[in-house]
Amino acid sequence: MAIRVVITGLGAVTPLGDVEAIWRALLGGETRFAPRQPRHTDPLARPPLLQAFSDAEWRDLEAGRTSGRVGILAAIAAQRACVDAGLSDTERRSSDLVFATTSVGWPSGEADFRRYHQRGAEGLDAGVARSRATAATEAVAAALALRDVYGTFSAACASGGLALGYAADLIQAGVTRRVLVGGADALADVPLLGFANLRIVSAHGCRPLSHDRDGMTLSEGGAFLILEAQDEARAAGRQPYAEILGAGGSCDANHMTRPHAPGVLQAMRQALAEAALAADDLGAINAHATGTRANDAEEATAILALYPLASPPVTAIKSVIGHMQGAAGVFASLVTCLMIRSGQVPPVRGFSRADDPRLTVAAEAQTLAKPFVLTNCFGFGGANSSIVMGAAP
Amino acid sequence: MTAADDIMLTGLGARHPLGGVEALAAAPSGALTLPTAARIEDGIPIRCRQWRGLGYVDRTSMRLIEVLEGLGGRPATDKVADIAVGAAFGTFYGSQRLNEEMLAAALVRGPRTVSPLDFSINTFNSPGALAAMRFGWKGLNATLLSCAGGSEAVAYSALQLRRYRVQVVYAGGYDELTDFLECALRAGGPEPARAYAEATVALELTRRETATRLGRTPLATYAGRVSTGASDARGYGELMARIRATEVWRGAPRTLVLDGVGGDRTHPPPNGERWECTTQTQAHCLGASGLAGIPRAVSELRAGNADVCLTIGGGLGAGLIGLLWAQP
Repeated sequence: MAIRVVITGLGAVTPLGDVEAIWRALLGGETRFAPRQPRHTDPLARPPLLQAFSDAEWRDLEAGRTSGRVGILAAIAAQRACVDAGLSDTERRSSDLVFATTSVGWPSGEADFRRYHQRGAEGLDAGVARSRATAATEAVAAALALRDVYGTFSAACASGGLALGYAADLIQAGVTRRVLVGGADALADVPLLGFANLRIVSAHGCRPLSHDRDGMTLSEGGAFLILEAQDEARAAGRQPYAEILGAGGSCDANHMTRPHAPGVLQAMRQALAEAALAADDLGAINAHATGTRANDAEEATAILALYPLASPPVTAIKSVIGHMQGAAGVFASLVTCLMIRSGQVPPVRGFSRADDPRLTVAAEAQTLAKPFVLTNCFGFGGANSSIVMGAAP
Repeated sequence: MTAADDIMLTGLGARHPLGGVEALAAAPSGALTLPTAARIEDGIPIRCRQWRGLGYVDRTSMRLIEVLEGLGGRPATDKVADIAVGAAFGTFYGSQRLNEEMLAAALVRGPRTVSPLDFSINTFNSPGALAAMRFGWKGLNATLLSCAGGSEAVAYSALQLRRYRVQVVYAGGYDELTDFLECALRAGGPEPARAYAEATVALELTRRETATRLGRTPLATYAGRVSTGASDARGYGELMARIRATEVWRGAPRTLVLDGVGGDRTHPPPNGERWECTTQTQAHCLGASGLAGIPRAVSELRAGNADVCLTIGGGLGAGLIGLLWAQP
């Protein structure tokens, strides 16, 4: 009999706060976007809006930790997820890890490279080990004494969705019984400058799916989900948030930075097929919706290919929590869990009007009419991932 | 699961300072002849930027695409729709040379000199994505980080094939060395300094049934993955204990271990298996560690010198990952 995979724990650390703070903010609370300059290069004429930890907040998070910014965010989020699930020490130590990130290491690696750039090899010390791309993965595995690591996915902003799909695969294939799957990313100078020079950073704050959208707003944070075989969770008396029903993935093979609707559609169709659901079974779609002209137009085209007349409610979270880059898919999936448990669809902050009226964007909070939600995440390189979740049995 | 679902290795390509697949298939012997940070001299300029079809490629991506072209760059034939061809690669440093260059440009010449074109291909997954653009592969496209990443990518690919999400996967590992990376590895690695080499290794993987349908000749059967969280003597001990507990290893009269991590480190005493440290000739190949031993494994399997081979990759904080390869 097929092994069913459920989500039994959620953990997050963001400038907005933890999981509860994220949900409150999505339902109408405050955001913390503010202009910020890159720290170590000449200032930009127009500093981008970001959602970042203050220096004081960061000192508190960092206290006693040495693993670099991404690793610290990841370890805190993972610990919170374990607490939320109520994992015993024994259960935690028998758990495996799948991680996702994209700018990995470079918030720390940039500092190392600047020293190297200024002083050559003499500028480097033992701390440079934090520059390793997988330093964050190692930090989580060590901090929680996890059993094994099954990979660190880095498919740009689609990383989180791919990691989540693989973690579910590992449980369904009987390879493992429980996986901590998470993502974290931090703000670094090169991504800030690169996105700015690509002219896809919003001047006014991200407005996903809205006809007047003008770009993305970046953020930093970490999020983790605990995935378990359903019988394992039941035996431990844990009440799951949701069940993972299907995962789809594709590559546009079309353009490095511009998404392409046929690839997006393929990932969505594959996820629905694995879940054995029809498009009309979905109660909502949690869109990737970065707020850039190209992303949201292509994603809307793909959604409307599934729903030629009218889509189910489509929500998006990046105007509240910001674009978490490699962790975006994990954050979106975390919110999908909260949607399914609460039976609510959070509104899209800043939305005014859709390009196409057939796209039913959730302008206000509303009831989740059917307990199945599809979550999208896409990344540079045309990487696409879709996950379908449903109410836990 | 039936025999038709066996995962087969049906193609193999490589680039290494020593040469291609044939050079990597040679038995390790004597002392390492490579420098401690061996670069591939294949004519691709260090700061290469080129338009390759629709893709703007750097040195790492260009080399991967060339290795895949040598492999046939297949398929997207009438027998396998392009949608069913996936890619999964592992890397330690990816295209981070671009990150170095962009940050240096910002520090010296100001923020506006960070090239949007360079930025668009600086993500770790850009070589795999550019290969997909080049060959029209529209299936799953994943990149896994760390020195275990290449081997993890093979295990990931096998699971995607078994779930019928794709029919063919091009998997592998790649890395290039930069001056900064070389210094960083020497300054702060979690393990003793050793020799490193650039490498790109690409594999074509498919289910047996698909291989037959496509007319591919299987080179080996992928027979599983085992890993441990440590790459020290304890990690080796755990890895070999787990390997020796597998049915495929226990049932094989002649077994060969190809260690792409340990070099001269102490590994557990052989327990009937033959042990070769490929690092003695190849150095440590970062994201392609372990995979660089596969040509040797195929050679030994085809020659009938081994029934099952274990290729070990990882290190640099990533633990150890072993892939099992059996007769096709």
